[in-house]
Amino acid sequence: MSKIVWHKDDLTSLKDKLKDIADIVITDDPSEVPHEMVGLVIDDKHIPKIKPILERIVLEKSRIMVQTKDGFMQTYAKDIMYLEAFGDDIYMHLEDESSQLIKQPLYQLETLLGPYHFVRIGKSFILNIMKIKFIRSGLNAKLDLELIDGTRLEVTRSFVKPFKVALGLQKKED
Amino acid sequence: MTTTGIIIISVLSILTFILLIKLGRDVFWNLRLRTHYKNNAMKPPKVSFMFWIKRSYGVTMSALFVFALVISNTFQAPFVINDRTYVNAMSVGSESNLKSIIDSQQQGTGSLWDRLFPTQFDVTNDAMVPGAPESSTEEDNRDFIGTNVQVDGVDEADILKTDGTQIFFAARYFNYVRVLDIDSNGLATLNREIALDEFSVDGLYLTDAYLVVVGYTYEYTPYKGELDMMADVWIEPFYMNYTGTIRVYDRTTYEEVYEMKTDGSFHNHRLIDHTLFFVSNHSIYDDGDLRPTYHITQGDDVVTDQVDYEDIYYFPNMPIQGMTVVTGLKLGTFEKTSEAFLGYADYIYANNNQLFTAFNYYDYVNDYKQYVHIVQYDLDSETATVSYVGQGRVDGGIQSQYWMDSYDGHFRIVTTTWNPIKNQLFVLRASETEDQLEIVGSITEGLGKPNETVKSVRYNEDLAYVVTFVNMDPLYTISLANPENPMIISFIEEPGFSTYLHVWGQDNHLIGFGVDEFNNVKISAYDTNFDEPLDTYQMVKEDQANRTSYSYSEALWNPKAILVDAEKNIFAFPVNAYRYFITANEYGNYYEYISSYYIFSFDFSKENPEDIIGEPIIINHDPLDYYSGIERGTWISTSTKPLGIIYTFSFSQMISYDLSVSYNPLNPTYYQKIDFQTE
Repeated sequence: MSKIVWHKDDLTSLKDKLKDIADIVITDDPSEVPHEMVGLVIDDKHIPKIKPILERIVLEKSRIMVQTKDGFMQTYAKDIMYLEAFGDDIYMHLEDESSQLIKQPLYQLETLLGPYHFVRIGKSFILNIMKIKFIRSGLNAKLDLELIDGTRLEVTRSFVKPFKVALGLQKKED
Repeated sequence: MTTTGIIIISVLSILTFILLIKLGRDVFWNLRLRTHYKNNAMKPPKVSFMFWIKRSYGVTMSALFVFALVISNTFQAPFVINDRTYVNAMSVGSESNLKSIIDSQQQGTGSLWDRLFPTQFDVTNDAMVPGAPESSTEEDNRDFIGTNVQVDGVDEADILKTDGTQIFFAARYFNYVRVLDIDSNGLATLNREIALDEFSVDGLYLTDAYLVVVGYTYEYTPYKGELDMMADVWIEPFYMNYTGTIRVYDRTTYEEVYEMKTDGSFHNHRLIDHTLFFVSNHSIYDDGDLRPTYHITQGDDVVTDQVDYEDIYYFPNMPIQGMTVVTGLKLGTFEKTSEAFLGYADYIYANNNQLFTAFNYYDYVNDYKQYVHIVQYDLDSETATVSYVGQGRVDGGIQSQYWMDSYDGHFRIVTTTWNPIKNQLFVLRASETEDQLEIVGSITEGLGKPNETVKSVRYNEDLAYVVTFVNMDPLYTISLANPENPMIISFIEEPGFSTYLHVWGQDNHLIGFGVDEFNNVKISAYDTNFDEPLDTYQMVKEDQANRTSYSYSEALWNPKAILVDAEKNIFAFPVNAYRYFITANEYGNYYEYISSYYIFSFDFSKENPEDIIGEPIIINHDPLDYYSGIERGTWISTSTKPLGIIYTFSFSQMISYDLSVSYNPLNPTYYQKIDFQTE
């Protein structure tokens, strides 16, 4: 058995996501967990299943700081659809269909967003993989991506490999 | 398949392949995407089923297009065989194509009646077996008259065959063959009776080594399934399965050395040299394998053989009522070849190297007119091969193989249409480049008076003789010397009509056999230079006051019942007559059945034309009943009997007559009489 200590604010979200796991015990006994925290007592066999769920909650709660022309701006990583470069200008397209001009080089943003399932799909594009609805394969080894808002982006040939790595189809070369 | 077809189908196939690969990759990538979502505890976005349908639309449509092009034979190239392009016949090629052709054609052409009741067999087929070639043995100078065949050297089956030393006779309705040995004095002894059991004889062929029996094996098969309820009534219902069968017997041992069963029935057959060519009908209404199948038994070996799909042809736009199979079988080696076409054959004509099938049909799709569909094959008796040459069609219909002929590269056919009544003659020639019989000449007007239809036809090289009839019998002589311009050159009129014409020598002399105006059997002698017959003999010349008579002969519809040889001056045939006696005594009226064999001779040199037909020699068998009437006669001569002996056969008797003995009509002296065991 293992005990996972988590912030009490996420209890509702946690219960919803963990409803499929029957033998889980949730406790907020002050003698067992710190204040404002809850403890999840689970069988070890559920660890592989619960791990991505917890990671997902962390990711959804993750905010990143980007530099705009008006100063720094904080945004949830999960709300970003993709980033697009026009010369020196970088546009950040959000799920609410708004865009922000970013004053930061694309390679920095790639490094910044890498842990949040973002991948470079072209010289000018960084994409949130979790926003892809459908992948069409092209005759020329390119990939045509349809996002959940209907936007169509292309994975150029030289970026297919990192895209495969991001989807787990290929191991990253050291 | 044509080059264009290969290119188009190849391109389409490549496109289909690429689209299929693309679709496969799409599936692969999106499955991977969904796995990625799940691995990260996220619900993948929903993609509707219609979305996938649209994605697979291209590959589905192109695949269907390729499939349709291949199945429909759109780009099938014409076959080129022996420098002849097949523009009419197309190979069936595969089982699925065969079934699809049959289904589509049966929905489109031919009446329901035609489909349910295809044209019946050639009525003369049961007598058509090639006769043994005439020969004589060295030691006692044997000679004989073989079966009366249409073309010299092309034997036709009959129920009696002889080679001068033996006579083989298969009486109708009785399943055995009687074998009689003929000694040097012309005396016959019954050698044996070959029992055939469930094998019903259609006709016999004779070669030096073999007796070939062509016929049907039949078996009773009870009805099954929904008709089982009938079994409880009073008799178990059944149907008869007839299977066209050929049995070959060794003439020295009388052992069966070969048997071939087809899964159809025979239309007709011919023996050329030592090769048997037979045309059979194969049903296309079975559910299973539609290829014609042979079951061959040779010694202990039993082999099943089928005609390849590549050797089955069809003619687009022709009604399909069955499958006609033409097979060549070499006696001795028993090698065989077959070709088949989707269609029917009513009559066949064959000479030494050609075979024609003719099929009467109505075109229900276009003009509701009657046509004859003609298919030509080349025959090679050396290799027992049949090769399709071409097809054609002419207006009208035919009723006998004798309405067809082939001479000097031209096929000639006389036809009759009934609505309106019209008689025509066509001359056709096979195209040298395509599988097409082209009409090169015709007579479409003037053949027959109003409402007269064709009754009999005979060809003699460049001449055709045509008898039409409604009240009087005009016998037209047509010159075919110029095939492109056939001309009527004379005609003769007489009461009644001839059903069979025989060319007698080379001096425009003809013998006509038929019926008079009272439907009694008659025989006429003609010179086609005159406009009326030279002489006519009626079988029942006059009736007495107290009796009525009716005469009939199988020879009226079956020329093989006629024994004829112009050189030997013999024209003989069986006549069966009924005489009905009206009496005033206590026994009341009665009828008498008389079975006779009439032997005629002719002398065209007589000054008085009425003396041309001599008084016949009449051989009578004991009166029994219709089934024991005289069926056949034959003629054999030996060194001690140079004028020959006539042998007549009925089911129950053999009576022979020595032609060197003067004939006494009131008390004829028979040479020999054998009563057969009939029980």
